Amino acid sequence: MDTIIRIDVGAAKGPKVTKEAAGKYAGIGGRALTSTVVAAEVPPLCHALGPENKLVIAPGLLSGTAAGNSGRLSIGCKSPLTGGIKESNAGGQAAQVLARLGIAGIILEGAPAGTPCYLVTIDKDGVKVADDQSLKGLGNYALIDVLKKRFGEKVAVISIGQAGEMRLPAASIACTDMEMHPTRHAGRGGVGAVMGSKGVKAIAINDEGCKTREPKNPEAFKAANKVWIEGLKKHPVTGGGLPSFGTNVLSNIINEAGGFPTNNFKTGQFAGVSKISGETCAALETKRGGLATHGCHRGCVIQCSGIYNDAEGNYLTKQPEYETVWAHGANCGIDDMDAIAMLDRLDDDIGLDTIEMGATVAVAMEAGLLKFGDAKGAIELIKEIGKGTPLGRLVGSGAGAMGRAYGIERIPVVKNQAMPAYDPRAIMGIGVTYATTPMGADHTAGYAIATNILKVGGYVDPPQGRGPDRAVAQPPDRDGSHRFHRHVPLHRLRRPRPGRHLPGPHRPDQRHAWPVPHRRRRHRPWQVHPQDRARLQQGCRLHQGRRPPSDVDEARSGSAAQRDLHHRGRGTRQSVQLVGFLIGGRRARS
Amino acid sequence: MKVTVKLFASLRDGRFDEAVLEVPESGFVSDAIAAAGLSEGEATVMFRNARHVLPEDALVEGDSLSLFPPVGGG
Ligand code: SF4
Repeated sequence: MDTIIRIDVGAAKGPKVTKEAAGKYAGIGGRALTSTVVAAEVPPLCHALGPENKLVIAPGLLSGTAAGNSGRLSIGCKSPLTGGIKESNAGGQAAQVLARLGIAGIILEGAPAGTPCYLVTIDKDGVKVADDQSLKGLGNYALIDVLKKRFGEKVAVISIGQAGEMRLPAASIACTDMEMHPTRHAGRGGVGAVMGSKGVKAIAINDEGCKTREPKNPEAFKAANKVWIEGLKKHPVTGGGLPSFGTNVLSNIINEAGGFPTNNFKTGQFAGVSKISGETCAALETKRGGLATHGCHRGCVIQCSGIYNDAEGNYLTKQPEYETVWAHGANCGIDDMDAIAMLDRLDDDIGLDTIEMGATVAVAMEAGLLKFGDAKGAIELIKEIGKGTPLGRLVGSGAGAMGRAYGIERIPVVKNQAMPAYDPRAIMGIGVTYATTPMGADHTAGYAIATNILKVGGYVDPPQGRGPDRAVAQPPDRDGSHRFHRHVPLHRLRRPRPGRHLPGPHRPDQRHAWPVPHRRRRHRPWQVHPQDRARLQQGCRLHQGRRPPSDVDEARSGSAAQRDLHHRGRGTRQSVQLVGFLIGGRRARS
Repeated sequence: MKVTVKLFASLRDGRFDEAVLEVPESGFVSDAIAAAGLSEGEATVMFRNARHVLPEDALVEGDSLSLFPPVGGG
């Protein structure tokens, strides 16, 4: 694993492939590699869909070895959804196959001329890029059918659906699983749009003729891997809960904790949870001849996934993940497992982030476009995206765009990315993650659920947050609904210092439950000194008969020259001079 | 007194999903766990009316107690 493949799609004579040694990126993999490359090579102010942005795809350091559960793939870029750095992660076969070919990363860069539809093929003989217009407009499932016929069932494919081609901010990148279904998605942050902006529709990777990566010290590796796999099998979560019920085992527990956002984050518990829980879903899968325990790539020990068949017993989709079931289920008031599975299938096919889509449909429901609980309407709305209608494009642009388009106040996003399935008001630790990660609302950036709810790796009572997380929580409105802070100013996030800023006695038990704003005490040179204020007020016609200017007014009123202008009254000779000074003309001064 | 006990995930095997159980007056969470037929340590996460509790915490009439084995995901 020492090669990095760069594909410059903007090169003068068509896509240029360069193979280079990992060099300064050697020794890191996965999220570390993708984020390091993005931080080092992508100018932060560039347009996410422009030539300067790069899409970085990397397997983990141990991918391609015999190590258990080593097959996750990381994809990074500047996000068109949040405008910041983004890392999105997927299962499926791609990571193992890439690593076996010795590839540490693929970097797509530049911007193509025209509207190509590139198919990249990678095998042990090299990398080829071909413009294949026949693949244009295909959904992921149809695309895989075509590629299966061409390359057989052994390849792993990384691809985008129509949403990625349309460069929609909620577009995902699909990876095929062991059955060649495009069901494992790097969902978050619109990474699919960036792949679309490079004109790349699919990357087909074939590791035929390559061996499993050999460790330097086989004995030590084997021993360590044995401990690792035994640990995974023995732990009640990775050896019991996850294989039996999948990640959706969380629906019930998060619901019981009151952190299961329902009807666009209006309440924290969903009445229909038992119909969509992991327990119900696993039983249904087994009954219909699907699978409740299934791995998404070779060498997965945990096997948290499954296969979901429709009522006739035909394959519909993989076992929907917890976040998907929540997003399309509780958050939209939908308690029909088949409808949720259908939405999951559509998201996979069109190439969309299920979290963002569930949140967007819920905001559309709040806007009155359809009713909460309207499963049919939700399915139609997602189908619109595949058709590329104006409404579909709006839905595919995410919850923030939908809310703004309909003038909705309650939009559950951080940095324009939809909050996932954990309400930060009931589970405050995850609120800190949402608020502090540069990636916006992203539960993978600090999974506080483990300690707040699951008591795995420690325990912190979720509603008894201290310090910063208090500001995120607000008591519900009288109608029981919650309001979001539009903006939490930094000074509100500080705890009040007893004895300095609070009136009355300051024994710890009498402290305010909610942080009160700090008053700024220190004199700053650009503020009017209190001793000068009276003098200035006398000459201030604007404030006659009104409240005196406060520190805040002064701070807001900008530069010293502007403030001077304000306090001397407009229209005076000095202010004319000052205006001239401000706009830098010599004319006004002479 | 009566409390509602809900079982989840593998705790349901051979037991019930939800039941109203009789526990001694001013009893504790551990009493309800015993009444549900669970052995000590089987349930690792417990909620009483949507708040985390421990086996030694008290119950009152009409409480809803949810019991989970170790689970994870996400
Ligand atoms: S099936 Fe689950 S545990 Fe296994 S690799 Fe895929 S996501 Fe990970």
